[in-house]
Amino acid sequence: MSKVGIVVFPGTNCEHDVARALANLGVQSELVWHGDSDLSSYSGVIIPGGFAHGDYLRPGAIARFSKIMSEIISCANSGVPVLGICNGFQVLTEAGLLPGALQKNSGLRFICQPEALEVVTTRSITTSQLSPGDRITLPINHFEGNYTCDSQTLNLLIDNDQIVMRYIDNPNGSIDNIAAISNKGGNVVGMMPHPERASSALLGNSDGLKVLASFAASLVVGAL
Amino acid sequence: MKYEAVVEVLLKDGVSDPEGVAILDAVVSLGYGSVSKVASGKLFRLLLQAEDENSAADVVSEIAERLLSNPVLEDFRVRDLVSSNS
Repeated sequence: MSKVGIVVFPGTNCEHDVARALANLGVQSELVWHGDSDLSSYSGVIIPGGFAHGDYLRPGAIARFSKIMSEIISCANSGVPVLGICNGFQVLTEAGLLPGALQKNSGLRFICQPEALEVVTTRSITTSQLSPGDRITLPINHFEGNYTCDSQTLNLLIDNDQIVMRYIDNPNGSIDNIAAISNKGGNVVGMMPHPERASSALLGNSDGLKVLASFAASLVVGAL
Repeated sequence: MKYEAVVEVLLKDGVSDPEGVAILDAVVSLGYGSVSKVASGKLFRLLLQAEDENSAADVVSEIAERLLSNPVLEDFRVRDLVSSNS
C-alpha cells in the first residue's frame, strides 16, 4: 500500500488537514519531521502550508536548508511525486526544485478567499484526473503568493507545459495568472491554492479532492 | 581576526514592496510630499572569525548569496566590513 510522507517544519499548520483529506480518499499518510532524513518508505511527499520556521528571512528560506530537504531533492530528481501547497510551494522555489519565486501580493493585503482556477494541463501529478479547461474553485490563504520569474523562464514554463493552473481573476498579481506550476517532468508541483481545504462536500466544496485524487493516482509507480 | 560585516538586502526594482508603499503613504500623510518612493529592505550584522579581510568578505558574500537573499527577488550588498574587538 503506497503511503504519503507529509513534511512538518516548525510552524507548519496544514499537515492534519492534508492527512484527513488523503484519508477520505483512502490514502495512507504519515507526518515526517523536518529533521528526519529518510523518506524511503513513502511513494510521495507533500509539503503542506503554514509558516515554516516562522517565515523568518523569507517564506521557505530557512526550511530549504532543513535536513529533510536533501532527501526531498533526491526524491524529486528520481521522479517521486512531490507536492508543495502554499508555504510548500515557497519552500520548493527556495530549494530550486521549481523556478521563480513568490513575492508579496500586489496591493497591501493578505488574501484569504475562494478563488476560481482553470486547469491548464493534465501533465502533472495534481491534474491527471481533470481536463484542460476545467474550472475548479479552491481557497487561497497567503501574503506572498504573487508568482514571478524572468521572461525567459516564463517562456520555458509555457513551452514545456509546466503551468498547471491559472487564476481566472488574478487575486495577487501573479505573472501570467499563474496559480500552480510543475517541474519539467511534471512530478514536482507547487500550488498556492489549498486543495485540502476544499475536500468535503458537506463543508461546501470538494473540488480539492480531484487534485488530491490525481496526486494519489500518481503514487502508483510509472503512472506519470 | 574578528570581523563585523553589515549586509543590506533590498528588493529589486519592480518587485512588489507593499511595506514600502504603506510607509510611503504614511510619510506623505505626515506632510512630506517631496518623498516619492520608500523601499523597504533588511539589514544583517554578522560577527565572524576570518584569516583576513578578503576571506571574511568572501564568506559573508557566500552567506548573503545562499541564504540572506533570493536572487529572483532581491539584491544584496556587503558593506562596512571592519575588524572587530567585540
